[in-house]
Amino acid sequence: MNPYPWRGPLSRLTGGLLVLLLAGFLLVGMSVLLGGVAGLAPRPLLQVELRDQPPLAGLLLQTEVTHLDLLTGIDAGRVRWQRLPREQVMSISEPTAACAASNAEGELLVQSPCTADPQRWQLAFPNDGRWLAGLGRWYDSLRNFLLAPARADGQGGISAALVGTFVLVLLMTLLVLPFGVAVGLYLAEFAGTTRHTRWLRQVLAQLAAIPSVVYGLVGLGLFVHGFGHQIDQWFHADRLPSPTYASGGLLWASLVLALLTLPLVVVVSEQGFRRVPGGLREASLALGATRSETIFGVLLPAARPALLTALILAIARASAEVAPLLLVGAVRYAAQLPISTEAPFLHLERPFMHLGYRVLDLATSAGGHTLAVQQAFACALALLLLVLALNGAAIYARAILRLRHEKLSP
Amino acid sequence: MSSPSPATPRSLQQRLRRDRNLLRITSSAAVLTALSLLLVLGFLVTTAAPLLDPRPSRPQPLAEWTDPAQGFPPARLQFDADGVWQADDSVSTGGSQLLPFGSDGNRRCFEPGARRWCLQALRRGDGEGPNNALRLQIEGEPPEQAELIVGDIADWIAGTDGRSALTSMVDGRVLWITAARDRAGVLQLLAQPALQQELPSPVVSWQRPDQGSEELLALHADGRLGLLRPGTGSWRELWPADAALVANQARLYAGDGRLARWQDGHVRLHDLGDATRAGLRDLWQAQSRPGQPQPSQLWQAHANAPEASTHLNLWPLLLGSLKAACLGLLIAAPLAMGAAMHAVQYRSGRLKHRLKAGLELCEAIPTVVLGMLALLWLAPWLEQHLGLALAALLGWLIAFLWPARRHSSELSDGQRARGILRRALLGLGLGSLLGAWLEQQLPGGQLTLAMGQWWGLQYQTYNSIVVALVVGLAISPTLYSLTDEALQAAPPDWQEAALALGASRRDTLFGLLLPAAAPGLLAALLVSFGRALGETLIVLMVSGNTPLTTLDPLQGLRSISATLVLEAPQAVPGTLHYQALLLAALLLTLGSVAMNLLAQRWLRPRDSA
Repeated sequence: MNPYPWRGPLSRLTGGLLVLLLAGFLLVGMSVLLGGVAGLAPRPLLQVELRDQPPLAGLLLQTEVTHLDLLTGIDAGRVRWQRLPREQVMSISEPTAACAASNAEGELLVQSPCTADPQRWQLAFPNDGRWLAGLGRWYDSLRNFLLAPARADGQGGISAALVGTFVLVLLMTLLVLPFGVAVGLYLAEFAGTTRHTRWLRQVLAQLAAIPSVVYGLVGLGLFVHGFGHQIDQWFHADRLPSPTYASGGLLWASLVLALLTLPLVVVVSEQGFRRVPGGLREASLALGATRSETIFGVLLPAARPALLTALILAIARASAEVAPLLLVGAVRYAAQLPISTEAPFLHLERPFMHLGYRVLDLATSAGGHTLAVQQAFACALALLLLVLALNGAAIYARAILRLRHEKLSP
Repeated sequence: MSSPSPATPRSLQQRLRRDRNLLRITSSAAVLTALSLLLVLGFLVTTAAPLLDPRPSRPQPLAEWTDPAQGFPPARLQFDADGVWQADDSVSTGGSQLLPFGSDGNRRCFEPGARRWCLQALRRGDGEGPNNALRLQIEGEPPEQAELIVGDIADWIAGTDGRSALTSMVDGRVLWITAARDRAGVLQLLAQPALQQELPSPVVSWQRPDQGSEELLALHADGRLGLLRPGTGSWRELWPADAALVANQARLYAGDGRLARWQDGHVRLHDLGDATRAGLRDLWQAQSRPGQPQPSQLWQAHANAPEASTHLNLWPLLLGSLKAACLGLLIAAPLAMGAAMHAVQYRSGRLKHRLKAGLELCEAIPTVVLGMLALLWLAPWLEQHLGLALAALLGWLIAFLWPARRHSSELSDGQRARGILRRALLGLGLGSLLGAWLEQQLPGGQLTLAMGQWWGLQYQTYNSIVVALVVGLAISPTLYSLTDEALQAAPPDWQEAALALGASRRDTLFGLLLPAAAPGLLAALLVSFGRALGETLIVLMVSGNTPLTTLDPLQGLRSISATLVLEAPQAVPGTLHYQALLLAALLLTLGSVAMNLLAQRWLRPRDSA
């Protein structure tokens, strides 16, 4: 018997709400997946005969009931595309002799018939109908999307954004993990439950409740305008008035993200330390180990999956967060990567590109530009996959943790 | 006790020292964590502090000089960059120039675009006397002119927008003259009272404390000096009545944020500093705008046209944030809480666990992705197919209220899940088919167009309903898991025991389940509300970002969080705009923290039990 007092219509209605909730997220996932895959899908090369105009060759971006969008080439970093109303189109063909060729600068040439000079231009999308070639084209466009250099107009590949996200999150991890684990260790091992620790827990709960955009504002006002300004005056006075650290950059962004993820790391690692069975700790102490030896020799190894979970959750949270980065240094286009082969290798003061910011930028500046919409979907898919994979890894690590504790506890 | 070997005690000491060091390190990390909250709150409070200070400051004395050469007041006072008084016309650059009151001239011209706007005061009608009319002339193609007789003018000053003026009348009124076009497009001048309060004595002369500043210094007939803010219509005394000024033995000068009083060759220089700045009240009061007779609440940090002025009123932003959060919660509460109520009845712990884990994964979906979907796909789709969506929802509702053949308590988990899936598909499918057909029959083929024709409703593509839908979806995983936990407060065994002891289902609900779960449910709502308040990217991308003071869900909104993201990078530290933004952020933080604290308070009884 079902002991809950909602039954009949109420039970069915709440069931309907559950379906609606799940359907909502399913819809989100599917549309990002399909939109992203379709956005990356190779486009057929078309030859279009037009009324009153010379024929046109181009990559098909989108077909609508009223019009076709055709990409006719890229030169000097500018995308050339045309919207052709249906009533102007006389015929559309997919000639096998067409090709899209790109040169070393990433410029694109669409031709039918193909006359591109193979010395300067490499053929990217030869237009023949066999599916293996189609797969090759798919691979080509995926590789382009991942590896091509970013361009100042917001188009181009996502490699720079991926590098920016990765370096940012890595720095954030280096800042937050030792600190957060130390606080978690203090709460679990040293503090007990006094008034002070209750206060500390309160503080952590409130830190977690503060909206992320406020952290961004603190980063802007305190780190960039405050600390950055001071650092510039002390160490980079020669470059003033152009700012070095007094403008948004990698260091401040990673500090803000570290502050943002600190409560999460503390809570998860504290739970991890607490879940280590008491018998292990007592046995170690009884055998004559000091407290620090118990911690380093027994607790930390036993709590390793919990620390891994904390790490992964922090990374997932940080890579999904965009709002604070808008205030402390994520940019649409950064000419230089934050890492380089020249000393000091890691450039903490540089603004950086970020995957989430790219989604925002492409989506808000699309304005009916099909290529930008498709790129936005593809970037969103990449971001979603990254975040979901990280969270999945955290769930997996937690499962390992549970298993291990079942084994360890008598 | 045997004596230990000589090496052991030292090594034990070392080992214990490591203990102490570890304690020291971890506890100092804990203290730093506690300090970080202080850092965040302290930064917000100290930066917004000048706005929070309720006491208006007075002009601060800066310096004094005696000029023996001149026995009459100079046409202007000049100081060099170091603040040293200079004789007339000797300052080249870097100095400041203070002009006497009422020196605005009788004709002011502005060139906001291709055309030139000129305002002029003149005398109309019979007899001698002060000017009693204002004339606005637009030179250029086509030339236009408008004139208004207002009464005897004591002094007037042109507004920063070039097409409005503030006049003080001989009878003590202060009028705001604005230019507007009537329905036929004819330019005309309108007069409206500029002040919300009675002045102690008539204003005889105006001066700006700074070039381009909105607020004005007003010299009154009894020699007192006031500060007037035309936008809010508020007046404040800066300087008490002064007999020497009335008797024309002394003269006041202002400019560059400074104020000087000349008397018998003796000059006292004052720094206006904070005295002219806006206070907390100015951020909430309705403001008048040129061309709009009714004062309104407006947030416009950047003048988007040369003749427009900036207005900083926090009310539309606060209202926007609350509107987005409340509407989002209105969507999320039934969705997530209903779903959790349903899931809790399942017997299989695995199913429950999987649902919860799946939704926790959904919680991690970056909000920028949700915002992008809503911006590029949901909002335009809803505009075209609102009728279809509503019909599908109606079909869904009917499908789930349709009576069942078998009682739900007889069903297994699998039967129940299959049942609700079947109903959902049937309801949504039939509803949307019917909705698509019905929408075809409407004028324009869209419900949104038909709504405009029938009821005159303007449907904006990016409106609060879309924001609410997406924000609601974004916060519902949180709400789901918190509700789930709250419902566990009275485990099924207790309820079975209660039923076995003869309690009715109603008694179980009101006597056991609700009292146990209510604090948790309330806490879940509060926490989700706090989350929705801080939501930034969805609101930024979908809401249209127009600061409005309407509660109409078909209109857009602009929230505090989106404004912070849009405007904080450009705001200059120390300006009123920056401080207003920080005050808004402080409000947002306090709101979210208050929700969290309240939630904890409600949760505490369960924790201690």
